[in-house]
Amino acid sequence: MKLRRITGTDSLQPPNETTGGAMKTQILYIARKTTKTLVAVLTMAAGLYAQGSSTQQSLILRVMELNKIGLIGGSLKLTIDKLHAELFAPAPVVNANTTLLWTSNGENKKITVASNNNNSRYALRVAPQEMSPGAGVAAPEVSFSDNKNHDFIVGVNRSAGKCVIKFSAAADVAKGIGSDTHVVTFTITSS
Amino acid sequence: MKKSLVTLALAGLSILIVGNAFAQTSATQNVTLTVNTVYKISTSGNPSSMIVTTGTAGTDALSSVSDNSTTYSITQNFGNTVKLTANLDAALSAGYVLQLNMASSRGTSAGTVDISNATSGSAENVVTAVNRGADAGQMITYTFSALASAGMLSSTNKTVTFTLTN
Repeated sequence: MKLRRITGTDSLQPPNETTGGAMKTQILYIARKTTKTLVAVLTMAAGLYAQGSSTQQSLILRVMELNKIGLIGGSLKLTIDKLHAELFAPAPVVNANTTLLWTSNGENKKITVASNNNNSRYALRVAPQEMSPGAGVAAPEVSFSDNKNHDFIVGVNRSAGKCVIKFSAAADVAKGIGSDTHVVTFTITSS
Repeated sequence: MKKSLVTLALAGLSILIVGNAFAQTSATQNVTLTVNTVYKISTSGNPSSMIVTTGTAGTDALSSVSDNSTTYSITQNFGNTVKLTANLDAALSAGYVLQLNMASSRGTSAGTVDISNATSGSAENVVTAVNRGADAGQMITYTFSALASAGMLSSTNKTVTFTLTN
């Protein structure tokens, strides 16, 4: 039994022989014809379903660097009016009613804090609390003694976050009575 | 004599009738009319640059920007099942979102569709069941938004392909 490969020049007429070899040839004939039919059907299908028309638009997209910072909570007043029970000194007061919010899509940013009062009679300290996870790292508590910028939150990278601002005020008896006014400014800036 | 005249007159009338009959002739032509399937789509140009410039403190999602300055027009005679798809040349990075809204008076708008990840192999339907006919000057609205956590994006050119197909 000798098999013969059907070539492109072979006739597509079915062979008449009924021997084993002829049967293989018959199978090859059917396969070839089926393939041709499939190709024809697929071509027609492509013709039916691939019809269409296209057009294009060109878009320019851009996101600028932006840094936003804000406060929830207005002006606040800290009044030292109690004595520490054991120390017989004025007891410090704490206010944690202000929330600081920030958003930055930049990298290596930090938030600084400064007071405009560099000659205050009483001590005023500030520290971040309850930081949003992953939005930055709290810096150590700042005690205002000048009007320079001090790190408040560092390591701000492409994030939006918030924290509670804890203000603490303290006084010595020797400082007597009186009042201080501070304008406290928070700034988001490059590290 | 009178009979002869009548006979002569009838003979002349017959000749006239036969002559008229042989003067009539006709010709025919077969005229084949074909209207092929027609799909046409065009846009009025390119939208303006979309630049995110602001946001809200404490919020990761920055303020989105939109553009509805361009329109599209279509004509098709295929049928009432034609649809309009849209895709980008390449997907946007995570954290950036491009949405598309195509108005339509002859089809059903899919509303606002996110095409940020729609590429040539995964085009999004933006209008479906478009009826046969023409629909001109329909508004294209893009909305681009970004997260702060995605960072900045330098000026990036994207190509949107609209395809009218069955």
